[in-house]
Amino acid sequence: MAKHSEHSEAVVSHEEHHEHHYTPTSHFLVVFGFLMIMLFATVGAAFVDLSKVVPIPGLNIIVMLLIATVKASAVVLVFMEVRKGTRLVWMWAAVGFVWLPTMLGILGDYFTRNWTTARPW
Amino acid sequence: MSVETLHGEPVQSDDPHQAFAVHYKERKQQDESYIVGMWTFLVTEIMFFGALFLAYIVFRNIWPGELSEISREHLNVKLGFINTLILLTSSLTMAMAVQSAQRKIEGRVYFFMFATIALALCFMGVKFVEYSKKYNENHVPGPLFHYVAEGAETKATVAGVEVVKTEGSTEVAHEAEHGRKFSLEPVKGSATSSAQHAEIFFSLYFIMTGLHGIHVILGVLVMLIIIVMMWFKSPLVADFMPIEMTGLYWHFVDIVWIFLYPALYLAHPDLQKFLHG
Amino acid sequence: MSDIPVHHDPHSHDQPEPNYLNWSHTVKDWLLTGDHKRIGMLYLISVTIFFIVGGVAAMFIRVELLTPKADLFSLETYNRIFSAHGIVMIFFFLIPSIPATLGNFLIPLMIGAKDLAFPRLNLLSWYIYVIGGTFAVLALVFGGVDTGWTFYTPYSSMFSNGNVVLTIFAAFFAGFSSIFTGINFIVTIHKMRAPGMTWFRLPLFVWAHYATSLIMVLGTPVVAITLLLLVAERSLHLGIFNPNNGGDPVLFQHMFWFYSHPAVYIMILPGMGVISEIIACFSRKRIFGYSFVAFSSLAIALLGFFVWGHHMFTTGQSMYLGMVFSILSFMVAVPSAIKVFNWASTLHKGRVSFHSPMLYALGFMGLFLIGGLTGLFLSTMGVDIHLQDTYFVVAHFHYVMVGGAIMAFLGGVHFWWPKMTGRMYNENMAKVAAVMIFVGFNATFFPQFIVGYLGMPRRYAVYPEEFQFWHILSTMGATLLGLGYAMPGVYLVASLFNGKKAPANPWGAVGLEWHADSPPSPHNFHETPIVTWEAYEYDIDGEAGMYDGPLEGNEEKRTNFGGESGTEPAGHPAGD
Ligand code: HEM
Ligand SMILES: [Cu+2]
Repeated sequence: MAKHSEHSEAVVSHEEHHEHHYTPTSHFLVVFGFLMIMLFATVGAAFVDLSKVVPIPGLNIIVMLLIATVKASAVVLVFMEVRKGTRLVWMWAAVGFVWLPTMLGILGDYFTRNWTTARPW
Repeated sequence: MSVETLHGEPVQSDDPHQAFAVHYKERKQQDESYIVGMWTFLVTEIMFFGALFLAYIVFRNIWPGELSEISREHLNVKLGFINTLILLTSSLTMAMAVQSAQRKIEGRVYFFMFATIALALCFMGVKFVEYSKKYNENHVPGPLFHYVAEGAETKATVAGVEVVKTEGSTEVAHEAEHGRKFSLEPVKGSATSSAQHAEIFFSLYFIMTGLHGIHVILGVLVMLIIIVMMWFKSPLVADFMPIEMTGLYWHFVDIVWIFLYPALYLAHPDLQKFLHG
Repeated sequence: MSDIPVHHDPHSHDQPEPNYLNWSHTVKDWLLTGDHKRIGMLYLISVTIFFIVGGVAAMFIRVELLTPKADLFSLETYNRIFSAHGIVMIFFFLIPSIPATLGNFLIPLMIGAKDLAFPRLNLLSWYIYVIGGTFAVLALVFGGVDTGWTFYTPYSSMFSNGNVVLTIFAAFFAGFSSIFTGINFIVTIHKMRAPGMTWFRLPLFVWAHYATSLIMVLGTPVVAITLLLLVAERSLHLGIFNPNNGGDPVLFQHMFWFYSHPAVYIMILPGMGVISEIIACFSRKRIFGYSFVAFSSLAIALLGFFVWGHHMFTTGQSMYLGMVFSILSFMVAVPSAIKVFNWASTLHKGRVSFHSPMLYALGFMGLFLIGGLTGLFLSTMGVDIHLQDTYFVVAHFHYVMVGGAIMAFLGGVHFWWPKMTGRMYNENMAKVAAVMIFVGFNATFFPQFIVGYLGMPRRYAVYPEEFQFWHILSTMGATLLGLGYAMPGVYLVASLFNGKKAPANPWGAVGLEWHADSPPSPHNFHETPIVTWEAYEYDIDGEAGMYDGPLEGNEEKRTNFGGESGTEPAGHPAGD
């Protein structure tokens, strides 16, 4: 539909007009290697008590979830080809990941439940 | 435009890669609509699984020690690791299947689709091993659920609405009687997990991995259907879009697992068990 | 519907044109159709059926409440009746009402497309709705549920002995049907707009539906999983929401309201879209502050996700969090107020005429105003502690949902009925019905503010005698309201048989949908329209042209249908 986005999409293949632009295998392999490294990093992080290094409670799970987010982003960008997608695809790929934290806002209740005392003014 | 052309029915064209449905203006519009539509659907899936993660985080936050202890005792980090490896690899083969379809190399499409299916079946096989172990140990929540916490004096059986007779649970019942305070500050008393903690953990474990497993199975079914249709040269799969859609879905299933693995299995794993168990 | 004779549109073509209603009459062509217009009509029929079911339950409630004692039904039965009323009305009538009928029918017409992006998904969503509806009806036949529409745990998961699981599945399916509708609308509005139909030329109806679809897509999955957990808990006796087993019932409420507060905007936003169309048309003016109204829809949809806690002020959430939810709830009222102010400014110095759709629209403005303002009372924490679970809340949400959403639905049906069926209805009857509904509505629900404020709790069949006066008033009003609702059922159906044939543009409105025939041809437009004019380009001094066919001159001036569908149009919409 939009003419302008067509050009910005032509990341890889320029040879043929009829040919669909595809991501070269090497890109997939690089990402796969990266995912493997990250997998080992996750498991490694699980066995080291990171809170002893930096005194933040629950640091392990935070680090592991951050790694998971990085992995997920790699999958989204390359395997799911969002990197070459139109602006609209970018937007919708982001919406879910942006909106999920809103729902996690429900946790706010659990963290503030015992803020029950109020001093008289 | 003839009235008889049904809405949504594709307009045939010599080149299947150029055919599009009557209500679109051009092929490109159709492709982009499908991709955006799929992504919108995946957004709903994110919120769907996200709500389960929310429930899990709530309980992990209420009983950080107990739940990770149960995870440490009863989930097999190694099997989870193998399954993560399998699913990540299947994402690679799926990406290759889509690429081959885009490049119209049919032989490779078959190869990578079958590879993806094989990996998915391996994944389900490992899950089957894990589930059956839990089944044999009566760790499936429900009427048969039975859990003996390490170090607990009394055995506890949770069946139906009956009040449980562990130490922790009498406290629960007691506190529940006295208004809502219970849910504000749940029983933190004993370091040992009780049957209640275990049942909640396993409930969430089975619901989360179970829904994920259903998604895996659905993905396999869709791939099989596409393969059969390709084999019979159905015009519906003559171009790469169905495979690309399946690919998006499959990668999403992979992403869910990427989060499930650390959240459930790596709560507080035991290194010795991982190395030698 | 199939016996509508072919009608020849005298304006555009000499050839008799087939339209979407008459090109085929077989049951198969209706039940397997991909045509958004036919699916819209299928939805119209189904939601009307559920409206009747829910309405009958409502009349039972009102009759029971005539006396302070529970003399007509047992207390148990009464619980089942009000639950049935709430569940049917919310999940099977209000949520799909405007989007799935008018939205389905009109969005492609308004943006100049041949159909929604995914016609088969659209049909699937109707079937899923029907399956869900069947479950709901079965659950009712087997004895119903007594949980109320909110299904609060642990009552629903442990103690209630009604058909909870069946009803939950009913709601679950209804949810999926609305997810599919939402996906379809979003993609359609992004990708299917006609050449020249830029975002800021879209009718506000379309903006409102875009915002609604966002809520459907982002919120519904959360309630779906919540309901699944509830079913699992009930059938396997898990403990996730049950404090006896260590679970947290408040988690259920959080997850439920995270969807269900936004869901009230699923009900009202499309209605606001309808009102914008009607007000502009019958004031003969461009909507005042078009872009404010457009963006306020998005703002309502997004902000609406941050206020769920105002339903939970009394659950033990900390008062600091309560304050946050309270302030955010006030903020949601701002975009709602923007809309009302903009409609009022549109009316100002407009050439206002009072056709029946306009009466509904004006009724909407007044009633929604009261409903929204009382929402502010309720979002004030201290006040809500007193009013929570009283009839004041009942009155509040009926003002927004019945006085707002249903008024808008009826207004929209009256406005587009000529387009949808090709027939004009009896305008005088329609005016009488609109006034009856307005009066009956206020008589029914205003007394409930008073009894609620005096302390009458909701969901009880018995009450102290001093409240009886208000309840009798309310039941009398409800009778009038019921008759008012029955009237359109009569004269609209009658119009199918003996109504005057509708011209393409009976109201002299300027939306793209009025350029299609009445009823539209199967593929909507004869050629792909090319839009070169702005939204709501009403000519306040021009011929109103009511009932006398379309504004011939204007049509020539504003439309350029000459281009063949293949040629590259001048004004190409942006790619998203
Ligand atoms: C103007 C913005 C609005 C505000 C600030 C608002 C505020 C509130 C508050 C605070 C409550 C909770 C009362 C209680 O349970 O104590 C409530 C209940 C309710 N509101 Fe609103 N509201 C607004 C608009 C709407 C709209 C537009 C609708 C529907 C179309 C709606 C439907 C409902 C319903 C159904 C309930 C009752 C839910 C139940 O407990 O069954 N509200 N509202
Ligand atoms: Cu609310």
